[in-house]
Amino acid sequence: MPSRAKQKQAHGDTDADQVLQAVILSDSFNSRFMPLTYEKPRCLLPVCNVPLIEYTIEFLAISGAQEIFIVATMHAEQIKAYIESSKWSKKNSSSLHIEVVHASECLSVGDALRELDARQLITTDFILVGGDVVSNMKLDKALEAHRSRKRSDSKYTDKNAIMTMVLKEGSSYHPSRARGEESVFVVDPSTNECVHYEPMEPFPRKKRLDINAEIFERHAEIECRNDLIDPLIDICSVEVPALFSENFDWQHLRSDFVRGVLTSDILGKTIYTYISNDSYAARIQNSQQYDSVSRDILKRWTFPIVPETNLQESDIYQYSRGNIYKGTRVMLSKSCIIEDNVQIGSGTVVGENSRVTNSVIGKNCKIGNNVNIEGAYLWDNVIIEDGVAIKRSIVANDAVILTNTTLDNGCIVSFGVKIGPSVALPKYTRVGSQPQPKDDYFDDEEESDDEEGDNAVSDIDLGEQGTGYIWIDKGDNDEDNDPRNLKVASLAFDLKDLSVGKEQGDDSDSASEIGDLSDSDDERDSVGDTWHPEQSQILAARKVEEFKRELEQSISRAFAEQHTVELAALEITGLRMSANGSYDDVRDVIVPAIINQVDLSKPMPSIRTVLKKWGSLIGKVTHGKDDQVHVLHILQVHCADKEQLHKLFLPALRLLYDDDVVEEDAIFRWYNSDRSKQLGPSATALRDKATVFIKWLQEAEEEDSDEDDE
Amino acid sequence: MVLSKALEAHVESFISRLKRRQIVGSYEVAKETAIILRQVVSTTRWSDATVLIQIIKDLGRRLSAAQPKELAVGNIVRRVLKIIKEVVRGELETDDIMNSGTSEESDDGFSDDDEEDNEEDSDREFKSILAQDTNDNADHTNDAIPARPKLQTESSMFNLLVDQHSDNVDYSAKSYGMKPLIIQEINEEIIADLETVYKGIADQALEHIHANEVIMTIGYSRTVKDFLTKAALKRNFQVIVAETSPTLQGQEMAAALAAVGIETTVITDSAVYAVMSRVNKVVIGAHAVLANGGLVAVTGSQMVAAAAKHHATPVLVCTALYKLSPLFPYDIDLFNVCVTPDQVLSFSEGTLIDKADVQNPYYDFVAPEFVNLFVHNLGSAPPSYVYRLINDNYDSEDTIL
Amino acid sequence: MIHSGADSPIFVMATEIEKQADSAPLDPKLFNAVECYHRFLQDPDMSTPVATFKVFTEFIRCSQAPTMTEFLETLRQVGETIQDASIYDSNEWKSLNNSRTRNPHKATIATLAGIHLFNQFVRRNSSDFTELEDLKATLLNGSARILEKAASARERVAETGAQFVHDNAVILVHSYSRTVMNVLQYAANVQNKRFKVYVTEGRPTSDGLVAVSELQASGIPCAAVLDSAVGFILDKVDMIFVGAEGVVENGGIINQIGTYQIALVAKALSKPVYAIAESYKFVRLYPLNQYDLPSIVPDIVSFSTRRKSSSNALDLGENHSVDLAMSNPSVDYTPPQYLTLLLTDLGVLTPSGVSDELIKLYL
Repeated sequence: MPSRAKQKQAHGDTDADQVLQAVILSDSFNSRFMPLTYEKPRCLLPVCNVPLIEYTIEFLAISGAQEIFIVATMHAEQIKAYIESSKWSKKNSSSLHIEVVHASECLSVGDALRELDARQLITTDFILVGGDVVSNMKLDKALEAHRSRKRSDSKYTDKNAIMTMVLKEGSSYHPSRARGEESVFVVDPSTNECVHYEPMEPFPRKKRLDINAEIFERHAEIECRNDLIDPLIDICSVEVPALFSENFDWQHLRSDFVRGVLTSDILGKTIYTYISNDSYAARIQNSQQYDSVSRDILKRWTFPIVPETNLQESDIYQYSRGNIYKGTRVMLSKSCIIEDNVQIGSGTVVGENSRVTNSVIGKNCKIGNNVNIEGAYLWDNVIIEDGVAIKRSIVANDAVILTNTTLDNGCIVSFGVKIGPSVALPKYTRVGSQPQPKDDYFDDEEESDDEEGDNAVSDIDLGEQGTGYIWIDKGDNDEDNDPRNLKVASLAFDLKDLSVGKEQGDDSDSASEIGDLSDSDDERDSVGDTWHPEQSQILAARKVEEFKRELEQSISRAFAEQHTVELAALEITGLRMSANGSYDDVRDVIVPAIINQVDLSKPMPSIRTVLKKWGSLIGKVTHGKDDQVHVLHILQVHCADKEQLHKLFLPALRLLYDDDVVEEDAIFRWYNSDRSKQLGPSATALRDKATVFIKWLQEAEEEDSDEDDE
Repeated sequence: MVLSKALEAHVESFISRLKRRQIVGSYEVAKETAIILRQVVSTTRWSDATVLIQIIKDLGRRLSAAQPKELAVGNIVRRVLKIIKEVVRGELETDDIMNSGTSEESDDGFSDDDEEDNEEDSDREFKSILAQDTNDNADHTNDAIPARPKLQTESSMFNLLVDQHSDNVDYSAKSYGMKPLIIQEINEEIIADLETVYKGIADQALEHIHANEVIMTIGYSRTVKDFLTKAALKRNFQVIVAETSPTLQGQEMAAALAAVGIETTVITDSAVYAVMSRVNKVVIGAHAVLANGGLVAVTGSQMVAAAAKHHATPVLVCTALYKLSPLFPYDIDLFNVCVTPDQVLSFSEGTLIDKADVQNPYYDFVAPEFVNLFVHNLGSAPPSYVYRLINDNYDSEDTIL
Repeated sequence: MIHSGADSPIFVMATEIEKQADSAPLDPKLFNAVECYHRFLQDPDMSTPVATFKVFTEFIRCSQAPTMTEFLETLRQVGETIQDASIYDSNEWKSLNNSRTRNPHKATIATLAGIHLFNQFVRRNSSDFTELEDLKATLLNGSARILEKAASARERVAETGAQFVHDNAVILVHSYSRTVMNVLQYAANVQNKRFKVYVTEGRPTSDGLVAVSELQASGIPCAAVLDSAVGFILDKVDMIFVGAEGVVENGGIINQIGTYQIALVAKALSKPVYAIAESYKFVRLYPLNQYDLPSIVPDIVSFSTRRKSSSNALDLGENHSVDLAMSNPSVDYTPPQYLTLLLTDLGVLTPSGVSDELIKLYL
C-alpha cells in the first residue's frame, strides 16, 4: 500500500488514475478440493498456514489496489466473517477498502461477472483475479502497458484492447503449471497481443492447433507458447463485465471469453498478454498446485511473501537454514529430525524420533513419537499419534490420525475426521467429515458421472475409531469430461497410477470410462510432443520401452495373483492410456507373456488351460483383422525363438482360433503374408507346420460355404 | 494503541512497506523510523517520560518485528530512547550533583576519540539548553550528548556500589518542558546526523586513500561511493569492483565510479582472490555492524575479506553510526535474508527447481577479525572498539526492545 | 607472587594488616569468619563471591568494634582470613581429591573477586559517614541489595547465554561449571532448544562426569570426552562454553585447568569460545602470564623441587595421582584473544568491554 503521500501524488499527476479497483472471484466453481471445500471455501484454506486469500489481497495491495470486491458464492458468510476480522478491515485508516459481494446464484466465472455488471460496481479498469493467486509480482508495469494502449499518444495504441492477461514464464513441464489445465497462447511478440488461445488438456492429447489464417495476414510474427504459467491475473477494462452480460452463455474466462473475443469478428476487441519473467505468480486451482505452490513458498521463490514475513499479524515465524520455519512455542523433542523445507506453526509439539520433511504443519498440532511426515500438509490442531506415517497428503483442522495409521500419497482428510488406529489409507483417498452429497455441488446441467451415486460405498477401512466418510472424486461438470485431467491435477498424483487409482477409488465407473475413451485412443498411435520435435523421438522411444516394461510387470502380477481377465485388461488399458502406448505394443508384450505361462513339462493340457483363460485377454487388445495378423506374427516369432516352444505353436494357433481371437481370414492372411515367410528358418518351419491346419480350415470353410449355399 | 489516527496510518504503511521490502536500505529505513518517532513524541499524549518510553518501546518492537533484518529500525529506536532518558535525567540532575560528578570524571577518560564533534555538539547543545534551563550547569550539557559514557545507565550491579539511588531516576516525574527538548534532540542528534553521514565519512577519505593505490570493493554502497568519490577529487587511484553476483550491484557501482572519473575495473567474484595480491586496500560498506564488530554486508563480502586477510591487505568498512547495532551475532544466519532464488536459477527451469534446492542469501556475515578499521561518520575505530561506540550510542537497558 | 598492580589499594592494605595480625591477637569474631565461610559454601548453589559477601554481612552484623577505624580494620582482617582460607582450601581439597568428594568451592580467584568487591563497596561508603552505626546500616542495606541482585544474576546469565545456543548445535563444555549448566538447562528446558553437549572430563577432579550425569538427568544428549581428546572431538563441535572463576581486567578469564588449551585448539579450528560468568566474578587483576595468578604457584613450575618429586615418582603408588594434582595447578589463565565473547548478566561483552566494567567499579 503506498503511503498517503504517494497516493496523493498518484492522484495528482496521472490523469486516468482513479481508484484502482480489483475483483477477486473467491469461488473456484469446481470441486477440486472436495471434501475440504465442502466446509470451507477454497480461498480460506491455509497455504503455509495462512489463508489463501491473504496472499491474493497482499498481491493486490502490493500492486496498489485500493478497492477490492470479493465475489463470494459458496460459503459467502465465512468469507465475509473472515475479511471483517482480518487486519484489512481493522485498519480503518488503511487505504485499502475491501467489500464482499455476495452472489449466491453464481455458478461460473461468467455468472459472477454478470452479477458484477448488474451491480455496476466497476467504474474503471480493474484487476481480475481468482481468490487463490499467490504472487509477489508488482503489476504497475502491466497496468501501465494496459493503460498506455488506451492513450492515443502511445506507440502501441489499441483502443480495442479490453484485457491484458498477466502470464509468467515457466516451461512446458513446470510443476507450477496447472496440470490438466495447460494452455497454449499464440502471441504477437512485437505487441504482445494474444491472437489465439488454445486450452491444452493432457487427455485427450491435442495434436493440432487450428489458427485462423487471417492471423498470419495481420501479424508478421507470432509465437506459440506452451511454456507460460497462467495465474489468471487479468487487467480488464470496464467493458469486460458488460461483454459477459451480452454473451450470457460465456462461462469461463479463458475458454469462453478469451476464445470468444479472439475468434469473434463482430466484437472487434483485442486481448494482450503481459509476460513476466522475474517475479512469481501462480494459482492454486487443484491439490497438485496446492502442493507445488506451498513448496515454492517454502523454497522462497515467492520472496518477500515467505512465512517469516508473517502475512497474518499474529504469526511470528523464524527462518533458519534449510528453509525451516518455526513459529513461537514450537516444542521439538530432542530426537526428532526436521529436514529441509518444513514450516511448523506455533504451539506445535513434535515427539521423539519423529521425522518431518518437506511439510507444512499448522498451529497447535500434536505429533507423537516415531511419526514420519513427508511432503504432507497438516493444518491447525491436528493430532497425529505415535507411529503414524503420512506421505504427501492434506490433513485438515482438528483431524486425528490414531496410532500406526498410514496415509499414502495424495490422501485428503477433512476437518475433524478421525482415522485409525492401525489402518492404511490407500493412495488418493479422500475422507470427508460429512457424507458426500449425492449430487455434485455445481451439478446444474451435465451429468458427467451419472453412475456413481450410491454405489460409491467404499471398502476403505477408516479403523475402529475412525469417523468420516469416503468421498469419491466426481469430477467437474466442466466440459473437459475426461476424468483423467482431474486425476493428474490432484495432489502427489503419479501418472503411473492412473489405472491403479481408478481401481481403488472408483471401481464402478472406471471400466465404462475406459471403454468410452478407447475409440479415441486408437487415433493416437504416435507419441510425440509437438512442441519439442527434436526431443520427441528419443522421448517416444524411451516411453514405449518404459511402457512395455510396466506392462510386463503388470501382466506377470496378473498371472501371479490370479487376477481375472477383466481386471488385467483394465490394468493394461490404464497403463496404455497413461503412457499413451499403442495396442501393438501391448500385444508385443502380452502374447509372449501368455505363451511363457505354459508348463512345458506337460505342454498340451497346460496350454489349453492357459489359453482358455488368457486367450480372451489377447482378444481384448485385438480389434481387427490387421491386429489378428499381428498376433499371429508375434506368436510365430516367439515360438520360433526357442526350441521347446516350437511344438506349442500349432496348438496355440488352434486354440486362439477356437476362442475366436483370430479368425480364418486373418490366419489366411498371415499364412500368405510375406512377413511370415521371412522371419528366419525356424519361423518358416513353424509356418509350414501350420499348412495342415490351413488346409483344414480351407476345407472347413468350403464346407461352410457349401452349407450356406444350400 | 495511543497513536493518533494519521500517525497510525503512517506506521502501518511503513510496516507493510518494510514487510514487502518496498523500502530497503538502512538509510531510508533509519530516516523514516526517526521521522515516525519524532511524530510520536510530538503528537502523542503523554504525561511523563515513563509513558513516552513505553510508547516508543512498543512501537519500536512493532517496527522491528515487521522486518527484523533491518537492524537500523531498532538502532534508531534505541537512540531515541536514550535521548529521552538523557533529557529526563538532565532535568533531574540539578539535585544530584554527585552523579554528574562521576560522569564527568569518566568522560575525560574516554572521550579522546570524539573530541572534535563533542565540542560542536556541546556548543549546539549548550545554546539550546541555555534557552531551556538557565540555571543548569555544564554537566547537564555533557549529559545530553549521546556520545558520552554513562555510568549510571548500566544495569550492572556495580551501580549499587556507586550510588544506591542512581538507577532509580524518576522518569515518571511530570516534566512539562521536556517535549520540545526531546523533539529538538531527535531533530539534531538523529535526523540532522543522518543527513550528514555520507559527508562525515567521505571527509575522512583522504586519510585512508593514498595516491596510486589499488582499492577493491564489492557491492553497491552509497557510503563507499561517496568515500571514493571524495578521495578522487584530490588523489589518483584505481578501483577494482567485484561484480557481486547475482544482484550485479558491483557493476552498478563500477559505472557510478567510472562516471566520476575513477579508473575502475570490474572483475567477476571468482577473480577476487586472484586479483587481491595487487590490491592495497579493501573498502566495503555494511548493512549493519553488530556489537562484536562483525558486520552484515552484501553477499560476497566475507570472501573478499578472507582473501584480503590472506594477503594481509587492510580492510576498511565505511559505515554510519546508525548501522551500529547492540545485538550480537547469536547465530550467523540470524541476520541474513534469503531472497528469491530466481536470480541464481531461473524459475522457468521447471523440472530442475523441483529437484534441486536453490538458495540465494542476500547478506554475508563478516567476522570482526577480518576487519581492520571501521570508518564511521564521527571518526574511525577498530572492531574491538565497537562496544564503546555501542555504549556511547545506546542505553544497555534497551538492547532488547 | 605478583599481585595485580601494586597500586591496588586492597593489597596495600592487605600487607599492612598482615603485619598487624602477627602482633595483635585476632578478634574472636575472625575465627568465625572461616567457619562461617565454609558454612555458606556448604550450599552447592552458592557461588564463591556471594558466599564471601555473606560472610562480610554476617560479620558486620556481629561486629562489636567500638570505633570506625577498628571496624574497618577488622573488616579487612576478615577479608584476609577468608582469602587465606580459600587458598588453603584449594590445596587441601586437591590432596583429598582421590576420595572423589566434590567441593566446587576451590575458587581462590572467585573469593578474591568477592573480597575486592566488598572492600570497594566499603571504601565507597566509608567516607560518607561519621557514625559507625550509620555506616553499618548502609552497608547492610547495600549488601542485601547486592545479594539480591546477585541471586538473579545467574538466571540472567542463562538468558544471555542461551541465545547463543542454536538449534542442533553441538557444544563442548569444559568440566563442571554451574553457570554453564544453567545456560544449557535454560536453553533446553525453557527455550526448548535441541542441542548436544560434549563435556571434558576435567582432570584431576573429574567434575565433568558430574556435569554429564546432571545434563543427562535433564534430558540433554551428552557425552564425556577425555581432556586429551579435545582436539579430536572439536571438529564436530560448533561452539565451546567455559565457565570462569574470575574474569580479569583485560577480558581474559581464570578458570579450571585445561581451559587455556581448549581455547587454543578452538582458535586453531576457528570455533567460537564463549566464557560464561556472572559480573561479580570480575576481578581487578591483570595477569601477564600463567604464573601471574594470586594462588600458590605449583611445584611443577620450578625445576628445583623437581628432583625431589622425581625420586618420589618412582614410587607409583596410590599417592601418585594426589602428588600429580598437588604439583599441578588447578587453574589457568586464558588470554582475551582466545575468547570470542563473554556472556554475563550485564549482557554480552566483548573481552575488551570487560575493562570498562571494571573501571566503572574502581573509579
